[in-house]
Amino acid sequence: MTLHFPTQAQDCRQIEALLPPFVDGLAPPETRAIVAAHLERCADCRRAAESQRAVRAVLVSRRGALEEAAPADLAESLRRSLVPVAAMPAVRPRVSAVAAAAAVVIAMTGAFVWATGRSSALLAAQLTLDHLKCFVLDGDDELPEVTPDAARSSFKRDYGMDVRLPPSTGTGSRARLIGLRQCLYGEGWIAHALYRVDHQAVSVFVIPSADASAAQIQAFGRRAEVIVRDDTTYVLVAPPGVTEVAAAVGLEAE
Amino acid sequence: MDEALTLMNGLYGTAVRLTRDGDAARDLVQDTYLKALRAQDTFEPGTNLKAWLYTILHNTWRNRQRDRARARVAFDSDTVAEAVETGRSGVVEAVTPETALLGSVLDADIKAALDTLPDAFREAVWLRDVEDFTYQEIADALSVPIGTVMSRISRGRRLLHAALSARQTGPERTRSGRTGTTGDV
Repeated sequence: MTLHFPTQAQDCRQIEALLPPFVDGLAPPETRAIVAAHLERCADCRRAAESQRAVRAVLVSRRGALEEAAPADLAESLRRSLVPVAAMPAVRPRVSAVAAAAAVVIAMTGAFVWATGRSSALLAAQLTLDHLKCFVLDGDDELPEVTPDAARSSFKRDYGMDVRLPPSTGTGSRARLIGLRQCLYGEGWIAHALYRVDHQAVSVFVIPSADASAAQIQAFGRRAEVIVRDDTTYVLVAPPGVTEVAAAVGLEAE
Repeated sequence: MDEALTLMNGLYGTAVRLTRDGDAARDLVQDTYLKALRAQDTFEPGTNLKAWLYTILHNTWRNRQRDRARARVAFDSDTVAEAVETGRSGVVEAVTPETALLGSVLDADIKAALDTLPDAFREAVWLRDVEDFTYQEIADALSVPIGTVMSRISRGRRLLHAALSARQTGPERTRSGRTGTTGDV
């Protein structure tokens, strides 16, 4: 067996990450012994441990005072907002005009989901809401056109995810890619590609699995389509007036 | 969802520490619940609802930060970690006994000192020491390895200690002492 003797600095760096469980009394016996032995001979780390103990003690003892009381009306506001998905557009004034009819569709879809556990239609409906919230309502005035390759590499750099964007549509295409964002959906992160097609806001959500099945719905004044290609699911969301959206972004119908 | 609403105060408190702004915190909490509602079929009953909601809160906030200022965010920043690392020697200059020193600190000073910490460290310390999360819950909520969580807590507490000590001992001591870079982080 080869014994490795780290330098004092390396040793201190390693001990630093072990100090929280040591100070909190949660370190397993072996770790505890290692840390204790180090503290015996290292005054800096000993003081660091003491500092941590003091900081934790003061924070724990002041928990009640440190918690910020939520505004009195927030709970009521949340209760009003957190109605089932079907009624959600009512609290989103800018989409409420188109929402009333769509609500029925979504309510039925919702019932289906609770019965079966999954539904491509609900997936499409929920991502339609994300499209409205993140693209239409938040706006995209400042977004210049980007190439799919640049968007992909920047996304990979920022979020560590390789996104299978629809095939590039080439020069002179009706579709202009103007952004690629990360979106929390269901069990994890997915990519949200923002396009302008015939100057209209069009979203393509890219889900790295093929669990969904093809579906088309109309909800919240938008048309949404679920397309599965290989091991990727694409959800396209566009205003009804934009024709042949799949073809425009490079997802030709099979 | 009623059960989720019982956790609102904790979420709001965390949101205030993250955003340092009451209105932004309120907005963040509302968005968190909205997303939770939409994703509720992915929540497994019997698992940790609190951790699940904090995960959504953290991710929502991080997403906003990234959308708004793609550069300034301190999360996962080795640069910040390194910057903090250079200040190690300053922290251990504090007067002892430590607990007595910090015992008299004002609540407002603690909040102000917390707000001086880089985001990643502030959030880790807050979730551990105020919200009483386990290391694993924090790792899940922040989507970072548990070793990183411990490291952030360690450095966060160190920075907080330096900030609180500076407040307790006054500006004169800070200027004349050898506390170095940590006070500026």
